[in-house]
Amino acid sequence: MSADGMQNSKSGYAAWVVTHPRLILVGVCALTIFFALGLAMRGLRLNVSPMGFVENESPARTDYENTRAAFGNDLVMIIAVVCDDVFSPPNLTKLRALHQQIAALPGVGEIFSLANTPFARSTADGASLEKLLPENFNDVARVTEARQVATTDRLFVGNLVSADSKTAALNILFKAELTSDERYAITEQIYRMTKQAGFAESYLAGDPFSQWRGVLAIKRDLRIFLPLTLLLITAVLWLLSGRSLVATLLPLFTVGLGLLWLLGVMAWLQVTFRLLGLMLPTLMLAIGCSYLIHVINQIGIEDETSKAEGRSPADRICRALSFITLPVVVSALTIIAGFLSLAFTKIPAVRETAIFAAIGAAFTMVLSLSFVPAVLALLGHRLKPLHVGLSGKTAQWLEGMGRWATDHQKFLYGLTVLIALWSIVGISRIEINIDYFHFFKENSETSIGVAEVQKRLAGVVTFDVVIEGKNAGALEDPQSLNRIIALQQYLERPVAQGGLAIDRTLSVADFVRHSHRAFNNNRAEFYSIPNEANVLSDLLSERDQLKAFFTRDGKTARILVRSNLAKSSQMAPALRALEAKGKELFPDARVFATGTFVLLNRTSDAIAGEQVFSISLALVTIFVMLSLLFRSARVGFTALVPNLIPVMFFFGYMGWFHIPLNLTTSLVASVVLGLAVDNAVQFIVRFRRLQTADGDLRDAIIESMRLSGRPIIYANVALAATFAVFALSEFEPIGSFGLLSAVTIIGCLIEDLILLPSRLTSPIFRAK
Amino acid sequence: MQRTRLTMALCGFLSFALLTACETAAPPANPVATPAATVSSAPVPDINSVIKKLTTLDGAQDVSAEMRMQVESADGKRAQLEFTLQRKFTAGQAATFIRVTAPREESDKAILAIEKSDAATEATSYLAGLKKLAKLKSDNYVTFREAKVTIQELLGMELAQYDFAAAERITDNGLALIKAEGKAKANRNLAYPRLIVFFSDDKQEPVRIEVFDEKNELVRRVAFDPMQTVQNKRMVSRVTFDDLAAKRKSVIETRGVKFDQNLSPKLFTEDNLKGIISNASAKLTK
Repeated sequence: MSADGMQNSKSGYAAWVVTHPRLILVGVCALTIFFALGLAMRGLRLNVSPMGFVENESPARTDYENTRAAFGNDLVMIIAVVCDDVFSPPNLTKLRALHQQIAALPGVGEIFSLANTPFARSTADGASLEKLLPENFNDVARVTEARQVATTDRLFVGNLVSADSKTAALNILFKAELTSDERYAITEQIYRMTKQAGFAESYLAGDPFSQWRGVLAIKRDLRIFLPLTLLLITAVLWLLSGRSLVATLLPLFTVGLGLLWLLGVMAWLQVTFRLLGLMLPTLMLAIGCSYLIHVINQIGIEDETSKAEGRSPADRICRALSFITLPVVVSALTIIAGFLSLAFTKIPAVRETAIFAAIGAAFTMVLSLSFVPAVLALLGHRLKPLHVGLSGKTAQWLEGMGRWATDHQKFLYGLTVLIALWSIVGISRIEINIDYFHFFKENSETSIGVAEVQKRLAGVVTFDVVIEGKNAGALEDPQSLNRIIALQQYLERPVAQGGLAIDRTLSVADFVRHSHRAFNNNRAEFYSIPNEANVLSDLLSERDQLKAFFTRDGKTARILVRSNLAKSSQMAPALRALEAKGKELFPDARVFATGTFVLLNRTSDAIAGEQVFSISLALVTIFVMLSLLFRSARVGFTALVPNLIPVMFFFGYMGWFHIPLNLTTSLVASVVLGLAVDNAVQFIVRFRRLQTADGDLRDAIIESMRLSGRPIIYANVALAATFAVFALSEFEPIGSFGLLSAVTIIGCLIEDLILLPSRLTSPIFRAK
Repeated sequence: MQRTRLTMALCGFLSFALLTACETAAPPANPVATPAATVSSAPVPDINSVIKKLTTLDGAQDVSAEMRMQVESADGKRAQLEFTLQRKFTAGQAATFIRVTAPREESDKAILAIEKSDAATEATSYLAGLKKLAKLKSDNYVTFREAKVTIQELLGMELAQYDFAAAERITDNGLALIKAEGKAKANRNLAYPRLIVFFSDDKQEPVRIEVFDEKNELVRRVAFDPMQTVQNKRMVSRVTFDDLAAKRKSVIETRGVKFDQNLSPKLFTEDNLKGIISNASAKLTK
């Protein structure tokens, strides 16, 4: 059977496209100008805040917002400066200079360091509130006193200075009203000031710093990803089209237009470009390239098979378009369905990325089936015929592969069952986990900063434990404050002693004990909560200074936790344990944990459930589309099943190789399912057109391999290569996403070339 | 129940009004009929003399006053505090005693401050429960319900602790003013490193003060109503404080002033502070 023979008729749509190319180009130009204007006028805003991964509306989010309103924001940047002795006059001078420089920056709200921290100093008749450090650092007695207090009192150790006096910290709170761009600019200034401050070593950590580095990393990644992806796709198109310049550059230009449209939509809608959005340009290039490879291949088939008949270029393009429109539309719809299955997630960053990826896929589909044929139709005879290698070695190898697959059906079925079993066991071993420390690569300045600050001072993964009494004054008694201390001790105690070994905590009780001791000649036995109500009331009198830990009405208290819980899998049980302990200690109050990391942790809990939902939704949608395409639910189901194998393999691989399911790896299955079906659809449509009522299924499969195998290989290789480029990302999760996607796509390719052909010999595929 | 807040805070604002009292026989100024200003060609007065006249009550030996403060926070919450202020000048120093009189549950609050011309100010409060003295510096904050102020503000900004640059004449909204910038003297523990004072050019009476923080950002604005004459001394009867960052407004009114009552030095001692607070606290406890 010849390829020529399989062409049925020219579709009305295809005929319209080749007869109205100028109208199409004018329309494309108008839309391009519209979207370019959006991009130029409104631009794109970058936002790498972790809050993008947190549900916008939920009881946990409400708790978080209420806590921030009561106790202030938690956007703290920590600077650790390292030297031989923090308390030597030259180092104190440097520390104070750095503190003053940073404090003078307009966007800095508050800064806490040894340079400005007060302490309660014991006097003959009471105590005085004074700065810990004297004005004159050569005042040996005062500096000695400051060292003794700072390196022993839990208010200061780990928060402002290390116990060995070799590291000092500056804790910076930004003004809440700053825009992200303003905050990034100030963070950069602080970074430079710190590096020029003259300390032996310095490290920065905290959310503002991570966000700023994140934005830099996104820009750097985009600078690498786009050119590399373009290069790879150019190479693929160049090889596929038989070294045709037009057939190489036109698809690239088309995908570029699609990307511009997508970014234009985002700009007009003033959508922020989040961390996951980093994948969008590359995804667009890869998906667009996949469609265009099939379009170019079909035009090439027409060129090669109609030489003898002397058809006009417009006629050839029309016939190619007539054939390829349906599979490209169905492929695009399956990919869009894959993305949109993620649009129901509660995680804003994932939802937005999925929706815009779907919009981008729709754009590239429209351009592939309109702009590309219109340009080619306009070029007419000036375009050299394409050579897609229908009789080359690759074609012969593909035919051989088709024969082998159809001849070894039982073996392949057995292999499929084995892979499925292996995958199912692997799936049962999957761990859901977000690694907070390794969001950036291990050797990045951000990860090193986090590790060093934790090692030298205290944990950087901070969150709050909130104790909320039933009424005003509920916590203003010695018993309540002693229970807060008990809860702190439970959090800090080693695991072997029944605690949770969370690094450090700070609460109103620490301030009360500090003051109580100072008012009593620094006697150690007074480092306690006084039992007399009026004494406690005096110690709690300066509510404004306690506002970060105790509400004025005495109803709510906050324990600040600086934890070393690097992973959500560690944090989840710790949170459950501490909330249970809180309930035990405060039966009449509500005790809960909150904070950015806690919300992220709750997100990780939601991933598993949402994963099942999104994949199920994608499967159902794709099944419906395949059934409509083949006008048979049985065929639709049979076509879908082989595509599940790579997805099962992906999850099994994650389970066996201890790759955690997290915010980005959870995206792979839905995305890859859509991409995998894309090639299967191309293959099955070709196969259905080639088979005849009484023809041999095996012949149709072998011919389909010859005609569609090559573009499937090119498309999958291009996809896998572009996803593999993500491995170069500064972000560890993006890198994992890219590598896993690449591996899964290669799995899809093997499935499309071996398992799918063997399965198509089933009698249900026989034409009626 | 939280009862013993160190609420001395805002009562100190009152001292602003008293600090601006200047002896004069001139009639009260008409706040409405202000003639269009023209910049005078006369020499600019010595700003240090103007400040000294202001901060020493133009040579008064002592003063006592009853005052009322109303605070309105950004979210519309209002609070009111009444208190008495006593102030006595001796060679090189001024002692101030502030005591809350209403509301009753705050009446165990008092503060004693000693300002010296050549050293940092020392303020003291007493914690009846602890039976201990709390020593405070000028930059220490104290709070009262919706308000939050430094000891420096309590004491009327401690203008004598600033070095003022030469004044200049300006016209502002049609008013001829004398403007001078003050920078904090070293080691005075002041909360605000810089401020700008504005006096009327004709009477050399305070119009407003702009207060800047260490970032050189304007954080407070203090506006004075036209002065009135009491016992042949010119004094401000009403001062408005705008806390620009917190969007909080405080208004202080002087309800009764007596000058040169020959107040006993014993009033301005820690023993008196302890006694007053202990008695008030005991009454409240009953």
